[in-house]
Amino acid sequence: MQTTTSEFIPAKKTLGREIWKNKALYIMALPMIVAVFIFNYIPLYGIILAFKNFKFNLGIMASPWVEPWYAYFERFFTHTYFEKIMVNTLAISLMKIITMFVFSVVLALVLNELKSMTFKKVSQTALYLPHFMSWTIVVGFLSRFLSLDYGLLNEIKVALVGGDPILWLGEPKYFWGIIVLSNLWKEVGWGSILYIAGIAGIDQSLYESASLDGAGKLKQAWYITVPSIAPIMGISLTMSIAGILYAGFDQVWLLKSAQTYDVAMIIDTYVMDIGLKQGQYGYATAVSLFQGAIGFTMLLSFNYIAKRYFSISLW
Amino acid sequence: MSKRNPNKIKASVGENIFQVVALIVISILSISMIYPFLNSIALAFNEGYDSLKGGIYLWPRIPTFENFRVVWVNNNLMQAAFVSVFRTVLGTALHVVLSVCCAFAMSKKAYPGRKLIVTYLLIPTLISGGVVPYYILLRNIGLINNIWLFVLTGVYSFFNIVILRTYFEGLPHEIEEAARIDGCGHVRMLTQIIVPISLPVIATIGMYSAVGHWNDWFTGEFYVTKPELKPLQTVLTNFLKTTTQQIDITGQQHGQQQASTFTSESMKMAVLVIVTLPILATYPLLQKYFIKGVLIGSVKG
Repeated sequence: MQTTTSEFIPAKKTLGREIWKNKALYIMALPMIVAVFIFNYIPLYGIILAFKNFKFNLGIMASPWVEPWYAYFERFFTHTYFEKIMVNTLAISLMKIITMFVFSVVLALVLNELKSMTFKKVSQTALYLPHFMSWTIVVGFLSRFLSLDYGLLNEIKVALVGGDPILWLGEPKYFWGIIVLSNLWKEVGWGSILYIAGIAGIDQSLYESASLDGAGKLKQAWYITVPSIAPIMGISLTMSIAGILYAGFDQVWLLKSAQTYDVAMIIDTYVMDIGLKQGQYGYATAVSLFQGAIGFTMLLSFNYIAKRYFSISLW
Repeated sequence: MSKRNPNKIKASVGENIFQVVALIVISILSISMIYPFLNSIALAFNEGYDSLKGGIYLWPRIPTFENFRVVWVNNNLMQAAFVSVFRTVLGTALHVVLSVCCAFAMSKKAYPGRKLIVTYLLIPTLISGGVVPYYILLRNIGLINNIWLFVLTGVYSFFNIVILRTYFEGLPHEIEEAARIDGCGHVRMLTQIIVPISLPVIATIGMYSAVGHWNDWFTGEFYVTKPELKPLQTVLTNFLKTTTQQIDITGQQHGQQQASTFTSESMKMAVLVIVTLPILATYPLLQKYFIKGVLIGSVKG
């Protein structure tokens, strides 16, 4: 007999019936829950590796603790390359975040101003395309573009400024620029989608009354458009900041070379090098843990600040 | 990049100048994004040695299938293509089925433990064990060097689940209510009512997943060592990183003793085209789905 929930029935009975009534829902969610448990929660246990002197034959549980518990972290912080790794990671990450942020907003603003709908649609198709290509493909193009013998960039450079062609990917001083610009090329289109959608939702009458009051396009953009998409900007920025120590593995790994080794070393590539390649599991896990912990802290702090001072929050 | 002179048109109103400049800048940007693909296709279909002379931009001068033939035969691309297709089809199917079921369950409001499930699924997006623990887990459950690893990779995507859930929540309640009155339970609700009217969104999720699978080179590079299990993307990456000399030697070994028309460059272009073509071909048609997915997911999510 079905019991309708009423406040006179003791909670225990109702809970059981509710669960049984909805058993199908639990079963539906179950496969995903199991998959997430196996692939996402169980590895969390592996964080313990950051504090253990891992021996293959003993496994994680039986391996001895490392002495002292912060040994790996100490090793990382005092490593000769630590400063370089952190500088590279932060520099690349920040430059990417800032440029992506600024230019996707600008792109959205500009696209919004275009009068021709057809042009807008066609160009958007082109602009979103690189996002769907893997970094392998993009790096393939980039290598050609920057090539010493037949690269388009060198053709242009020699034609405009003269002199010899440059081996762009071999020069440390150009590396960061190449990373940031190619990342922009690949993602700025896709990054502008959210803002375009946000702008499309703005009440047109606001613009009308503004221009009646004598505000030009620039003022309208600054006083109407930007504040309206500020929440989206805030959330995007908060999420980007959480990933500040993740400078982009695929791209850097594929673009780095022996000559640019010094400026290309970021936390992710370092972890792959010492972790999976050299098998220093404990040490690599510790570095990853450091990365994740900082990111998590930044996420919480940024979200708190955004919530408190700008009423924007991820949750 | 050289810009055309924006002052070509005599400025009348400031706005017109802006329109023209905006048009030009966006055009250049758009062209810069499409051109590399067209150029690569042209080079892939052009005879290698002829390409060295330069001047190939959008169309091959001496068309040939030679590059594709050599690359396909020499690198066992058939095997790599099989792996890629296998994982894309099965992986996407698995991901879609699990995500749809899960999102449906999450979209229902009033049952015990719902919030728990949502939180449980949210947490892994915030914290992670990192690469090493993941690798050890894979090894312990025997998924290293196992083709099924590819299928299971990426089965969990909180973003996709949220997109589906948001969509389900946005469906008109009357549909469900009417079905419930007729005695429809959860399972039939999902399979016979909700899914048929959610096909566009489900297709969108499927495409995100398919693109992700097709483009993934990382899994094949670091979690798989057997050559026959490497998907196209991983093979391509290694191929592109191989030095010119190595490719030339390999090419010569495989029966091209006399004058061959391909170069390492043209072979690279052919591989690139093979790997990109599926996405490039379907992209224009599916573009609106991709955008819709992002919008649905972000408005609520």
